Amino acid sequence: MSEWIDLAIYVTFIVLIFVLLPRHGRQFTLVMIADRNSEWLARNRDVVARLERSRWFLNACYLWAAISIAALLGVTLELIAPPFEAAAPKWEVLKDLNSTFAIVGFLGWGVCSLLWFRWLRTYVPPAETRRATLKPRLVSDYLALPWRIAVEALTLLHLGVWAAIGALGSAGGAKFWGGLAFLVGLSAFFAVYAYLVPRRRPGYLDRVFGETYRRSEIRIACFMRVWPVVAGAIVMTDLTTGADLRRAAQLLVVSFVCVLALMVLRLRPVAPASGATPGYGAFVPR
Amino acid sequence: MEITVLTSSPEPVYEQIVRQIQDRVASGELKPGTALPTVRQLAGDLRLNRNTVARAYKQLEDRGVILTAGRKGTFVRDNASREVERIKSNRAERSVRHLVAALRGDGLSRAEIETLFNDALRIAQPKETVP
Repeated sequence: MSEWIDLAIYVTFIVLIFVLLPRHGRQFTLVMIADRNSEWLARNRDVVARLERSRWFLNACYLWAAISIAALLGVTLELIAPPFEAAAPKWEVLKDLNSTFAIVGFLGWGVCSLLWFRWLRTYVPPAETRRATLKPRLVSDYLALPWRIAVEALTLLHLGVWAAIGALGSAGGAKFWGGLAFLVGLSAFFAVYAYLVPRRRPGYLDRVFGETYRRSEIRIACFMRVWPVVAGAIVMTDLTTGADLRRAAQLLVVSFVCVLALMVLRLRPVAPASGATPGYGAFVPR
Repeated sequence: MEITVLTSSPEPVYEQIVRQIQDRVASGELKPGTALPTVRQLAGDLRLNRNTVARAYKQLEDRGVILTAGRKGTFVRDNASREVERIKSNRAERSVRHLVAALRGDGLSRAEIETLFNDALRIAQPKETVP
């Protein structure tokens, strides 16, 4: 029975990632071109028409979502044999199946993105007129100092507790020190990511969504820094009590990705100048 | 507050940056002590090579318009607007001297040059009075 909870979370994840996000993102195809060079877009109306007609990427995403959900449902209802270890519990089969479909889907998505950016760089020359703000971008403009201090303190406290447990000999062995090394690496990775986000070059998403986009990104980056603490708590529970929290951890990660996807879906383009056509039309000179 | 550069302009990009920052200082939009973006940020935003922006900042620093305080960042100097006025005044003086020398070289008399200047000022006057 409880496998249906896993299935519901995985189906929500698939629908969000492979149906709603691509549909939401489609409206920004032309915005990206307009952002790179609106004059070029205005001169090449045939490209606009062709891109507006093209649905192959969207259809491919829908197809992948349908195949993924059908496979998960088939395994849950025992209509198809588990493709992985037959002796594994059903929740684990669902987890592996969902991860496999997600990874293959993301790879396909990544390849399509690379091809798209290559096309953009090859055919759309960058605009001759470029704008930039004269206001420095500082993390403090997006995230209050107490939050940043809290995250830093939590990270240090978490790693400190692990180090103290190791030093006192309460736990040890390759699994413990390997876990600590993994957590230090993960914490460092998210710290670097959070450091780079406010400093990165503004992209078309910043111009489309305005300041809200970077603010959301910085907050997400800050929030991501809590993940090593959660992961550390799970690994520590596993080490000290032997409880298997892999299922809970997996569902937590998938739910977290769903929340991120919902945040992206909630982003709306900044209001264009009054009288302008909503959508990409607002970015294209007539 | 934005800065705009035109890569196809005959005016070099770094000079466009220098001119626009100086203009904003002179107009009071950039007040003394105001922090400016880092070279990296401005170069990234304008999709330019960092050396281009660094050259512009170096020139502004040499002219006494901005001050780079290590890792703290880059700021508009206290007396920046006076420096900009001095720069503009020097540039105007140089331009006028060159022009007068060129007109003298063409054989124009002092009276003729004065008439030309007065005519040019009269033509430019309506534009100056536009708010």
